[in-house]
Amino acid sequence: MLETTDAALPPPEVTPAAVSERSRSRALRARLVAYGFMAPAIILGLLFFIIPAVLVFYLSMTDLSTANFTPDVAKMNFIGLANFQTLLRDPQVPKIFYNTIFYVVTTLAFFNITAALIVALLTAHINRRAGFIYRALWILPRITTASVYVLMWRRIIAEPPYGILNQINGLLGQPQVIYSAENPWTFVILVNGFIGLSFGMIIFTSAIEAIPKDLLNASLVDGSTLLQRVRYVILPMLRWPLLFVITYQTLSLLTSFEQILLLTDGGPGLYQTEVWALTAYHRALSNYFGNAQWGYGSAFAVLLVLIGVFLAVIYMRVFRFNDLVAEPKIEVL
Amino acid sequence: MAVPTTFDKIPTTTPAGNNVVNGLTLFNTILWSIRQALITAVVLLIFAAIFEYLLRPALASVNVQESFTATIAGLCIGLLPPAAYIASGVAARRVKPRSLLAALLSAWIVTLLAYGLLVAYQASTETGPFRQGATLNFTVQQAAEGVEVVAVEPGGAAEEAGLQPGDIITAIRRDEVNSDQLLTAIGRAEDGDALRFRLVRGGEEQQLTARVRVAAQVDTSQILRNLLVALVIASLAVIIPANWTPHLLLIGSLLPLLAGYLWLFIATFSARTHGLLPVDSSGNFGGWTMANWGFLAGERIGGPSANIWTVTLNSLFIAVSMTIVSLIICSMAGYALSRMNFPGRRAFLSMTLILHGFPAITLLIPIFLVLINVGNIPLLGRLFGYNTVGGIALVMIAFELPLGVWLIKGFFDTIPWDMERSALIDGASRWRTFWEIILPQIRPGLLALGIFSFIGGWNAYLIPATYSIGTGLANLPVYISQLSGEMAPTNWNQVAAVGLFQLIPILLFFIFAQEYLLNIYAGGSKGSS
Repeated sequence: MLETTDAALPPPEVTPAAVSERSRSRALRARLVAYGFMAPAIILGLLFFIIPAVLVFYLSMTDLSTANFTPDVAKMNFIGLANFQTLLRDPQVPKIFYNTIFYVVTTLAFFNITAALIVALLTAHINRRAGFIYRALWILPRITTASVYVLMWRRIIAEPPYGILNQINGLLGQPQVIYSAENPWTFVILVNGFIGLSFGMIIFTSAIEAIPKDLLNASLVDGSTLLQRVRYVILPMLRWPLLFVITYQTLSLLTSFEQILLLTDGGPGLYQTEVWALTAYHRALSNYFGNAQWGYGSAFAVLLVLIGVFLAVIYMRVFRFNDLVAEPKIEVL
Repeated sequence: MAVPTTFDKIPTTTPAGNNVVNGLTLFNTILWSIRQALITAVVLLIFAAIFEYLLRPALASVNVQESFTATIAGLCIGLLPPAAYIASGVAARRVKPRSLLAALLSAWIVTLLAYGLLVAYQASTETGPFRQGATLNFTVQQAAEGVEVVAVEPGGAAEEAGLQPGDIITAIRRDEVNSDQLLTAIGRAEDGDALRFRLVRGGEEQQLTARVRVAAQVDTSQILRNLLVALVIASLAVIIPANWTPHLLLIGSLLPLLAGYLWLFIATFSARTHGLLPVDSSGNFGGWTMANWGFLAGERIGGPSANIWTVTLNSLFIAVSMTIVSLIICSMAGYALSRMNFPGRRAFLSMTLILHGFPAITLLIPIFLVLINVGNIPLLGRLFGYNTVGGIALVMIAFELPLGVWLIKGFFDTIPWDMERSALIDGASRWRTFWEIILPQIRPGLLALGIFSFIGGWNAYLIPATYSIGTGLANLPVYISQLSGEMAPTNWNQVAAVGLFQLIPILLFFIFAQEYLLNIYAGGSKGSS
């Protein structure tokens, strides 16, 4: 059944009218089949991407909260831009805004870019198998569920005599520290940085391995030092991967709050480690204040959605769109 | 590409018969070492200054309450001396091929100079070994009942006050203390201050007043110890083979992670842990037990009332259904996008890509409303609405669609279409071609997406936690976070056991499918940093 046989081709039609009639009905059927294949994905995409993306803008202009909750969109109170006015007047919002910038920039600068690049360079310059093992170990935080991962970090920084860091402090004769109270930001950055590192590491490693060996050998023959090779040969070749990791990870850091939620939940001081995405979550979905404000929370989320759409369109334009212009392999049949 | 030639090049291979290091070479090496150590120190100082005097005030002025910049500045300053020793040692390596002794000698000389500067600085600022701290001239250790006095210096303040070895100090005035608090209290006292201790001697409670003294003399043993450490560091920097350096750096940076996972294993099998040490209930080494695994036999633990097996089944259901459904949906859509031409194909493709970059997690709030409305649909609502495992799985499948469709489309694109074309010409339907001929050819892609989906579903925390508040629908990650949050006091070792239980499938994947993991996680790290 699967072998190719020329005999199976249908005999040629005679009249042009019949040809066009047949090919039209064929094309229609082919389209229906194609949409049939696409249907489940389209339904899910509509339900959980398109409709929510529109809904979040509408929600941000309503005062939907626990007090007047209704799932019916038509019955919600439309209040225009009042939520955004409240947001701008909120005395805590500037602090949350700067917290977010601080968190994204430091995590990105220290871990997702710099440390990732260093790990990639180091693992690319040692025995292949060993480099692979180190990179695999760096994947572990990403595949460990957030609650277990944060549990480990909480024990690392726990108070004496339970904390691992304080045990080391004790052995070195250093004073004991209650890290969770004194250095919450440092650990928020560490916890997220240790997850974020692996993304850049993988991208940079494949980019480094793609550098032609001739180029590196030529610079070796010229007697360059390791640092010179990194600076003048490797880094220029990494310009695009660097840009990609920076933009992609900026967006990830801006919008992800799972680990912060579990580690500090925005504390320990008033909004001390609260970031923008966490505020949206707190206002709308966590019942900590007893009153979930879906409308006001959406006002916070809208900003992130806008940034997300903007950057996502940019990625598509800058990084990958050329790949997908390719026409399908089977157009007619 | 222009690669500048080095002007400080030193041949690593020496001409035959010229392996003698003369005085001039040694002198040059020392100068070079000094230069490198100085550069290192200056760079670290600049870093510290940027963080301390530029970034810290800037962040404080916009009300960000952080100590991160101060920590970094402190690290730069604290690591400055060892970094200088290492720099001098590394610089001295250039004569190592000719004479190891000359390299060591040069590193030692420069390290001595650097250390001399450090000691001079410490002497002028009265820090380190020159600190004029208050003391009671005794040594203590933490015991179960209180702080035990181990030894008293003859003629010291403690002996003068009448403290004896074996006394157990329980409090200063009425404040109960442990050994750290006690030493801090002594350190804070001024010369001649009186501290009133409550202590137990031979089973009887007593009170005793001791006057602290400020040590007048310099701690010379500490100076010598630091010098020794400095020389060892410099020597190691000279001796350690160059190809060890990446390994040392990589292992060093992985240490926090390794410590975390090690703790998880140790804690699971012990009653308590102090740092990485398993201890029993009175704080002595030991306390190995299997009691933490009692939950497997249905033993209820802590606050959440859910049964562990219900929770595990929920987890498994989410992970398995997510894997199967997203494999089917993604390969269908990927096939259509790769092989068929239909109006809107380009639009779908660019939509897929945009959504792939878009952080779906920002849509959590409106999806809450969508789920509630889906829940109102008869029949279907029971399965996929708000507060159902099906609804949670559906949201997570949807979040993964863009990545999955894109990944699978890429795999379809790479396989030749001869077989498929023949099948279609032979009259096989599209569906049959897809299912019987094409799908088996992209097994690696399906495996990759399957592993990714399973891990994503098994580890899901945020979406289950958000859309199943207050119900018995928790999955393992949610259950673990409830255990570590609500139980008061938390039995960390029991939580660790549940955590390790949750981690088992992940570790299996980690051991047997590392290549896949490394390949997928570059493409699909959505919703996570």
